[in-house]
Amino acid sequence: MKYTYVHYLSILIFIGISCRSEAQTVKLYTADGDSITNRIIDINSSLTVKVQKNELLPYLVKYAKDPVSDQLLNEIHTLNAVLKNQVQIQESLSAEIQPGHEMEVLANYSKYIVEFYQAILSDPETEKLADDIMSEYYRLKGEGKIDLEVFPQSELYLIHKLTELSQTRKSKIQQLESISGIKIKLLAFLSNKQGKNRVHIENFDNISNDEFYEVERWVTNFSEEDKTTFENTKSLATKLNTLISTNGENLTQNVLASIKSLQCFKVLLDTLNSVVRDKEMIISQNREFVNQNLDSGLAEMETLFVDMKNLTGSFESYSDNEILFYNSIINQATNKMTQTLSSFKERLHNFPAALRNNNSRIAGLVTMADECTEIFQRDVTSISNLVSWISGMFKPFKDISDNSEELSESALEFSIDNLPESGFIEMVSSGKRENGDELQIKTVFKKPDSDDEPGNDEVVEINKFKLYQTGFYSTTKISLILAHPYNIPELDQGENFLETKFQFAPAASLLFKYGSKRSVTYNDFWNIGFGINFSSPDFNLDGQPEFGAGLIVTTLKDYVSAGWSYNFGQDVPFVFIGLTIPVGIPGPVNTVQSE
Amino acid sequence: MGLEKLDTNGIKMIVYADDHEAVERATNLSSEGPAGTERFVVEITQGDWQAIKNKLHPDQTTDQINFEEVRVMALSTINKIADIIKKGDFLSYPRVGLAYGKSGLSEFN
Repeated sequence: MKYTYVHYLSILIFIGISCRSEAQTVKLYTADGDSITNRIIDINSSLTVKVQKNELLPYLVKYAKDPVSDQLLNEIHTLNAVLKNQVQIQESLSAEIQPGHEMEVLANYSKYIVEFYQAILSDPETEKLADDIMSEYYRLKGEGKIDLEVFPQSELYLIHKLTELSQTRKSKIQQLESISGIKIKLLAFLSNKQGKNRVHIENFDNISNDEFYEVERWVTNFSEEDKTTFENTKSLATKLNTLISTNGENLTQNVLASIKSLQCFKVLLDTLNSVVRDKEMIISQNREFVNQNLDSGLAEMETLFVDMKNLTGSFESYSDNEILFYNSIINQATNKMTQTLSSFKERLHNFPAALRNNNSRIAGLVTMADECTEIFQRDVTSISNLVSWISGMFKPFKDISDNSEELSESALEFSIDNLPESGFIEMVSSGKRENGDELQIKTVFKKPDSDDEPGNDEVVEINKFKLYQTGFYSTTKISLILAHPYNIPELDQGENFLETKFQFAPAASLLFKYGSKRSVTYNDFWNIGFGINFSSPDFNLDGQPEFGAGLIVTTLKDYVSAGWSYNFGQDVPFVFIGLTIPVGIPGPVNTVQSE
Repeated sequence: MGLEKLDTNGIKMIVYADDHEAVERATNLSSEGPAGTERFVVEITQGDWQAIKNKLHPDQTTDQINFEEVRVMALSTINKIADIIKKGDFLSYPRVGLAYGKSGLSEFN
């Protein structure tokens, strides 16, 4: 029976509105019911979103700009300041005292009760109110009308009455038309470098779940994506090794070497010239039509050839970085050349079928035009790939698409009275996610439409949480390593072995990591991993990568790594440092040949 | 008169016996507080102050206290002065409750 009043009061504890500046309108809880206090959530977790109605009230009052609600809110704040230690006070009063600990309990109680009374005395009206309540208590006690099991002390009765008053004022605010008319919405978003997508909150919106995607805790295989990245890294390593071996010769030379259509166009132009020169002998029918088209075609091809030479010339005269700025020029040039070529081919195909099929020189011209077109298309792809790759190096993140706001209409609208207590988020149903992605929960208010103006959404609070794999987990990582062989047998040194100290090589690692549930700094910055590293260096420079395997330690989100490995093909150990390019390496890089 | 209560180990609230308002509030609140520490109301007359001074803790200085102005005085378990409500102050249950609370603070015990 001793705890009856404690239980009773416990029900009333959190009725008040918090005065804390960091108060949140929503709180997240794990499936186990643990409150998320450090803004880190597990990447695969099931979450309960609890709406803190008491914390919403100050936002609603501020948004409504209604003096009546302002006054009531101030009164609640005063009462809450008084009641802030109510739990500690009731605990002290109900504490079972061990002999010898009386002074300890007294000091503890006194500390909180002094703050309690000082808060009451800071406002004369509250002091008068409290005096009346306590007087009432002793009067009722004298009349035998107080349940002494519930309220054995006047201070507990006072706390109960002040809490009731706070609750009454809160109800009054909620009933004000200016407050009850405000529509409340809750929106969740998954934000990462790919963009921002809406996440379904059960009870708060009608949007459907995204694809099911569970981030594996124990990864043991390299994914298809890893394999593609590895191949692309391999091409990058080849290119970088070429750059090293040629003392940094311009990267674009590699592209120039692969532009085959220029030569084809030269041969085509020569052939066309000879046909035009001999046209009187070759063509016997439709002479006027064919001659006119041959002359026009020759003019077009001469323009095309000049354009082609100019384009390749621009590659020769500009550095790699400057190519970025000529992206649009290159696009324009290739578009123009494509049109010219198309027009030229159309002229040839409009020739009489007999001439086209039976005249060997005209037929040869048609075939050659088709071949050159095909080669030209490959060159255009090669050029645009190079440009986009280099552009990508300097523009690490593509523009984030953010059309998620447009979907906010699908969110359900509630008033403070019918606002659900809880919503639920299944992270595994929110699409593809990575460590470091962000879950944002926005609290949005909307005033009802009026004759003067339509009600607009206003975001009043954004709560952000970081998604990580927490606890121990494994992951794969593709990186570029700089391998430094040592203890090289004398026999292997020379022409058939690496002459530089370092060689770039693609590497794949299986890493073991720990995701902190408490420290964003650790997860986002240090993020240490250790594991096994596989690489394919080419120490003997025969173009056939060898197999290397060893140990690796990574940090700074794997951007930096180091390790020891052994080249089993050459029987040579090597140490390495690793770099992860902080951008996706696009596939088309491997269309550029270095040889 | 009850001055013998100054020899006990509880919290004491010194009030004038003819100040019914103060006596009522101090007496009602004396039944409260955590278990393990008793609260006593010591009813006095104007002439009792010298005897009270003699019962105060040896470290307690009284030079700065004008006893003529005192309406209620709260003493700790070891008779250190924890709070004084002056004549003319608004006397409420919260004010007396604060005085009891201060008497229990560790700095006075």
